[in-house]
Amino acid sequence: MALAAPVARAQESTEPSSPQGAVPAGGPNAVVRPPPPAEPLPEAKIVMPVQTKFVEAVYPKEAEDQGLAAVVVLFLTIDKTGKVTKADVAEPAGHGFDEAAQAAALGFEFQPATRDGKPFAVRIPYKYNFTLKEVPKPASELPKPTTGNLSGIVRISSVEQPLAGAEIVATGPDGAEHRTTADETGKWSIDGLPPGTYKVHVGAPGFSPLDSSEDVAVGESTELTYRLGAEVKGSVEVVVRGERPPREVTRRTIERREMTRIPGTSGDALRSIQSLPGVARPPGLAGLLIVRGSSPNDSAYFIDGASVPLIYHFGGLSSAVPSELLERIDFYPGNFSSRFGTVMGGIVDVGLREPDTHCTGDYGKAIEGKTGCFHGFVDLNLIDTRAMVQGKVGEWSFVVAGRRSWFDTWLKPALEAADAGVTSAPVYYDYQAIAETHPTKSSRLSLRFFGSDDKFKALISDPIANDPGFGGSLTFGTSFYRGQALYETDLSPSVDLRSMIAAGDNVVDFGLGPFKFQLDWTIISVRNELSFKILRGLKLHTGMDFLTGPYHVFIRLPPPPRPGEATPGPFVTQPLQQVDENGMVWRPAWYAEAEVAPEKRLLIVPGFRVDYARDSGHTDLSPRLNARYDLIGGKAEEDRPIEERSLRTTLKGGAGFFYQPPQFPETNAVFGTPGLYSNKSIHYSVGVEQELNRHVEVSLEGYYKDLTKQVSRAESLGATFAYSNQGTGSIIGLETLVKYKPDDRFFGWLAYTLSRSVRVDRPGQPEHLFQYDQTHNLTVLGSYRLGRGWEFGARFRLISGNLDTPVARPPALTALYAADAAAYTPIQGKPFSTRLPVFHQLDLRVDKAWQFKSWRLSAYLDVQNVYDYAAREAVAYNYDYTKTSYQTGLPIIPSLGIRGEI
Amino acid sequence: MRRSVLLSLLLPALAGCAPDFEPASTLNTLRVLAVQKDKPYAKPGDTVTLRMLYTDASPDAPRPVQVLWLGGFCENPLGDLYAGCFAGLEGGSTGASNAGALGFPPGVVVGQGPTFQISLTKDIISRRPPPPNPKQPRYGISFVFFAVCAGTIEANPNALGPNPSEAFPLACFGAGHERIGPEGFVAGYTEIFAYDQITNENPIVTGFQVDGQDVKPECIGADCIPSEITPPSSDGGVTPDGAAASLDGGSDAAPQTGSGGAGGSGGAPPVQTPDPCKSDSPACIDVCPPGRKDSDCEHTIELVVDPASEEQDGVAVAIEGGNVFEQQWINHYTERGKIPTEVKLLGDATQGFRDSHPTKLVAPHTAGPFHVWAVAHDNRGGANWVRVLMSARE
Repeated sequence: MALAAPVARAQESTEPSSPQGAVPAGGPNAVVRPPPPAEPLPEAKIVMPVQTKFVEAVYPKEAEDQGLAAVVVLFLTIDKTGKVTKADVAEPAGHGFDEAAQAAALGFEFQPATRDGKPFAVRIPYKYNFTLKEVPKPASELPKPTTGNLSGIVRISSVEQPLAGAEIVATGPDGAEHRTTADETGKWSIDGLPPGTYKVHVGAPGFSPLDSSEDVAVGESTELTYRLGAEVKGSVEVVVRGERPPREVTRRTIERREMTRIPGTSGDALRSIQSLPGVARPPGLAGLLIVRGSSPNDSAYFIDGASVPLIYHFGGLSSAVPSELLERIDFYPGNFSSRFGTVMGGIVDVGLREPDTHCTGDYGKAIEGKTGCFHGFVDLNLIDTRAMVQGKVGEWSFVVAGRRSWFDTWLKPALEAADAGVTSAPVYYDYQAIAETHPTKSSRLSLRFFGSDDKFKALISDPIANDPGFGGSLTFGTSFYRGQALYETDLSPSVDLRSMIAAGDNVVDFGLGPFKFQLDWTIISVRNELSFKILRGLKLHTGMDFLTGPYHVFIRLPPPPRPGEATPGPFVTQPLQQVDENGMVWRPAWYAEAEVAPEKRLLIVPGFRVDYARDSGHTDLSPRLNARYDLIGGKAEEDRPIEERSLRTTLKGGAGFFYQPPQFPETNAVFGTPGLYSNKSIHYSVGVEQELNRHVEVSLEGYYKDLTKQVSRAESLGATFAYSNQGTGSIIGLETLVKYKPDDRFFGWLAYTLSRSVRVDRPGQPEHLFQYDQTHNLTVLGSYRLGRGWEFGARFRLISGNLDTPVARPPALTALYAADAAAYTPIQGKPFSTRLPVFHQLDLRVDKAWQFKSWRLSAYLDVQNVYDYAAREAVAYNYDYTKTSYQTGLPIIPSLGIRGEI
Repeated sequence: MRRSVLLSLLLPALAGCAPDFEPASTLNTLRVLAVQKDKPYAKPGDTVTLRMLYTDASPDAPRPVQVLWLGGFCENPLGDLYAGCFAGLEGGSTGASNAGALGFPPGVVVGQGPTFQISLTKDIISRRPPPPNPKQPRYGISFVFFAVCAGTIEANPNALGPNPSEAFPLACFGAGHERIGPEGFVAGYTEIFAYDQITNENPIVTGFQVDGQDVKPECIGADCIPSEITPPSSDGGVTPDGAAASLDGGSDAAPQTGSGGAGGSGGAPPVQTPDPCKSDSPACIDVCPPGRKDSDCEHTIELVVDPASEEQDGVAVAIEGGNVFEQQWINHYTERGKIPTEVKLLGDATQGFRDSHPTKLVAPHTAGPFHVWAVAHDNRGGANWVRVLMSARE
C-alpha cells in the first residue's frame, strides 16, 4: 500500500510563490503534514491547492518481493488549472520507488492555489509513502471470524417511536463491558464481540431500564429490538399476558406498571387478573378464578411450571406470592398450549423474577450498567407487613422475602370481646427465597424455596341455627411449600432445554364439629421441555410433565348435595362417611407442539398431549391447533418505521381437546366411584384484533366449549358418593377488550364479556344455568399520572348478579322441619333459575411517592366500593324460609399502605 | 372433597352483612320444637316410640291442631335422602283430598297425635349393600314424616307433580278449604338409624337455671307429652273413612289450648305451676320497659344437663379409634321476650362436654307469665327438653 501526502511547505518555483497554509488531505493514502510558515505576502489572501484526485503508485515488484517500504519526497509543480506539470524527486528512496512516485504524482489533480481568489501556479513538496500491501489470500486460507455483532433499535414502548440516546451495555461472559449509544433513529451496533451469552442492559433517562440475555454467535449479527417503558418509581414491574402467548397464538400484554395501580386490588398483581375479560367476578371475597364459565376447580395455578394449590390467602384476601417477586403472569383463559394439561378451564402461570441487583445513586437515579447492589423494602398496611431484600454474593444473586398478616393482633381482641370463641385468630404468612446464577455462558440456574400458610382456629359456641352441625371446634388451615430448581440452557444453537423439578408439600386441615377433611400430600413435579429450531419458520417443542407423590387423606363428611335434587337437609342429620388412607398420585404426561410460520403473517401451532392418571386408570389424548394471521400490518411490516406501518388487523382461532381427570375423592372407593373417566371439553375460539390507532387496540374473541363426560353425582343406594360421567354442558361467550396502551401518563381499558354457561347433570334432567354463569361483565378502569409523584386511578364494574336457587313461597310449604337438627330444610325450585340484582361498584386509588436522597417513601389509598353500594351477594332466609332478604357484600373499604425502599 | 364444597361452608364468613331476622327462638306461630325417640339408635326389628313437642303460639291460638305421622314406607331411600321417600307414596294421593282419604299404598303406617310408634324391619341393615369402607359399621335408616296443622290435613293435590316445591304429600286446609301456609302448618321428618351394636341415648336433662339459680321446670322430656299412643294402622294406612274421621279431628288429642295462658305444647296437660311472681322464684323477672336497651334487660338462662349425656360417637370410634364425641347443642324458645342467641353448643366432637352453655333472655316488655323451652340435641338423633314457666312483672 502506498501512502502519499503533500508536504506542506511551499517551494520556490517558476510560478508565483506558493501561499501559506496547510494542504488538506491528499487522498486516502496521503499523510498530511502542517506546512511551515510561508513567506508573508502582505495584503494578499492565499489559499493553498487542494488535492482532488489521487493516483496510487505502482509498487515496485522487486521491492515488494523483498518486502521493502519507502518514503519518497517530491516537489510538485501545479499549474493554474490544478494539474501537476512536474514532479521532481527531492528525497529519493531507490529500488524503483522514485520513478513510481513521480509517475503517479503526474496524474494527481488539485484545486489550484489562489491569491485573492485568483488561481496561480505553485510548487509544493509532497511526501509519498510506500507500505507493503497485504496479499489477499484465498478464501480457504482466511482466518475464520472469531467475533459476532449485536445491533438493533431501541424504541419507546407502546408508541413504538425510536428512542435516541439510549445507552446499551453488553457485558460478556468474561465481565468485559461493551457500550454504545443509540443514534437519532434509535439504531445501535456493537461489533467484534467474542461469542457467548451477554447480559445486555438498556437504559435511558426517564425510562425503566431493560435487561436481557443475548447470545452472540461467531460471524453472525444478532438484530434486536428493545422497547423501554416510561419509568415508574416505586412500582412493581409485572407483565401480565392476557389470553395467550405466542404458542397460544394470541397475546395481550398488559404493561408492567398497570398491575399494581389497578384500583380495588390494593396493588395486588394477581388480583388484577380478575379485571381481565373472560374472568367472572367471584362471590363475596372468595378468591376463586372463574374463567369462561368454568368451575373454579377447572383452573390451575403454577409457579414457573410447578403446580401450587392456591395463590390467594384465605380465599382472596391477598396473594400468596407478593407482587414484587413476579416477573410475569401468564394467563390462559382457553385454548392453551399442549404443555399444559389436566384442566379444562384456565391456567395461571406465575413466573418469579430474577433478583434485581442494579445500582442506583442519589435520589433513586439509576446507575447504568452497574450491578451487584443490595435493595430492600418494607411495606406496611392494615392487613399485613412484608419485607424483601435482594442482592448479590459472588456469582449468585439472591432475594429473600416474607410476609405475615397482623390483623390477628387487633381482630382477636375484637372477636373475644364479641364472645366469638376464637382460639387463634386468622393469620397467614408466606415466604420466598431465590438464588440464581449462570453456570455457563448460555445457561441459567435458579433455586427457589417458597411457601404459604393460612391458619384459623375457633370454638364456635353459637352454632348456626339453620344447621347446628356448623358449630364447635373450627380449624381451617391450608399450607404449601416447594423447593424448586429451574435450569435453562442452550444445548446447541438450535436446541434449547428448559428443565424444572419441584418437591414440596400440600396440606389442608379443615375441621368443624364432627366434620373433618385433612390432606397431606408430598408432591413432586417435573417439567422438561426441549425446543428445536428445525427450519426457518419451524420450531418444535416437546416435553414431559410429570406429577407424583404420596398422600394421606382423612375425611369425615356427609355426602354433598347432588345437583338438581332436593336439598338433603341439614348436614348434622346426615350419616357421615369416613376414609383414612394412604395412596400415591401418578400422573405422567408427554406433549409435542410445533410453531409453523410458512410466512410472516401466519403462525400455526399444532400440538398433541398424552396424559395418564393412575388414580382413574385412564389415558387422555388431546390434539390441539391454534393459528393467527395478520390480515393487515403486523409482523409483515415489523421492519418498517412505525409511522409507515398499517394499523394491524389480525385474525386468530383455535380448537382443541382438554381433559381433566376426576377429583381425587371422586374416584375413591368410599367417597366416589372408581373407574371414572376424565371430564372432557372441546374448546373453540375465533377472534380478531384491530388497532384503531397507535394507542388504542380492540380485540374481540368468541369462544365455545363443548362439555361432555362431565363427572356428576349419580343415584345410589345409601349414602355413598356415586358418580358417573353422564354430565354434559356448553359454554358460549364473547370477549371484548378496548385497551389504551400505557404511555407516560395514562393507561386503561374496557373489558366486556358476554357469556352463557349451562349444564345437564344427567340424561333426562333439564338443562340449567351453571352456578357461576355471569351473562354480562363490564369493567372500565384507568389510571392517570398527575405529576409530582401523584397518580389517580378508578375502576368501575357492572356485572350480572349471581345465580340463586329459589325456595318455594307460601302458601306452599317453604321448608320441611328436620326434627333431628331442629332446623328447616328448604324446598327448592329449579336450580340456579333466578338471578340476583346487578352488581356494580366503583373503586378509587391515589398514589403518592416522595423520593429522598437515599431512600424512597410511597403511600397509597385504595378505596373499594366508594359509594358504599350494598351488593346483593346471596338470598338470606329466616329460620323457616318464610321471609327473605339479601345478604349484602362488603361496605366501603379504605385500604392504606405505606412503603419505604432503599 | 371438592374445594368448592369447603368454600361453600366458609362463604357466609366471606360475605358481608347478613340481615337481621327474628330469631328462631321467638314463638309466634304453630311450631314443632322437637321429636324425641326412645331409641335414637335402634336395632333391626325394634319398635321405636316417637314423641313430638310442639306449640301453637299464634295470636289465633287456641285453635284445633292436628298431628299426623307417616312411617314404615321409607327405609334406606336413594342417597339416604328424605326426598327419595316420596316415590314410595306414588299412585296413592292424587285427587283423594275431597273424600279425606289419603289413599297411600299398603305399607304406609299412619298415626295421629303427638306420639307415634313404628317398627323397623328386621333386614333394614342387611338388605343394604355393605359400605365400601369395611371399618364403617353397617347401618339402616328409616324416615318418618309428620304434619302438624291448625286446620285439616289432606293429601296434597299437587304432590308428585312437576313442581318440586310441592313434593310433600300432605297439605293443610282451613275451614273454607283455603290452603294454610307455614304460619299454621308444619311438615317435617325425622330419621331413625339402626345399628346392630352401636347405641345412643337421649341427653339427660335435669333442670333449668335463671341467673344462676335453679328453677323447677314445668316438665322434662316425656312428661311434657301425653303418654297415650295412637295405635298405628299398618294395613295400608288409614282407611278412607277412618282417615276422613281422624282427619276431621275426631281422634286427635284435645286441641292445644295452651297452658298458663300463654300457648300450649304438644299434648301437654294444663299447666298447674303457680305464677313464679306469686312466689319468690328466680323465674320471675322484671319487664323490660319500652325504650330500654335489650342489653339492660338480659337474664342468663341455662339448661342443666348431666355431663354423662356426652357419649362417644360409636361410628367414628369404630373407624378412627380414640375419642370422638357426639356433637350436642341446645335450642331455646320463648313466647315472649327474646332469646337472641337461640342455639348454644353443649358438646363438641373434639373437646367433649361443655360445662357452661348459658344464653341470654331479654325480658318481655309487658308483664305476665310465659314459657321457655330448652331442647338438647345430639347429632345422632337424640333429644330431650324442659318447659319452664316464667313471668314478668312491672
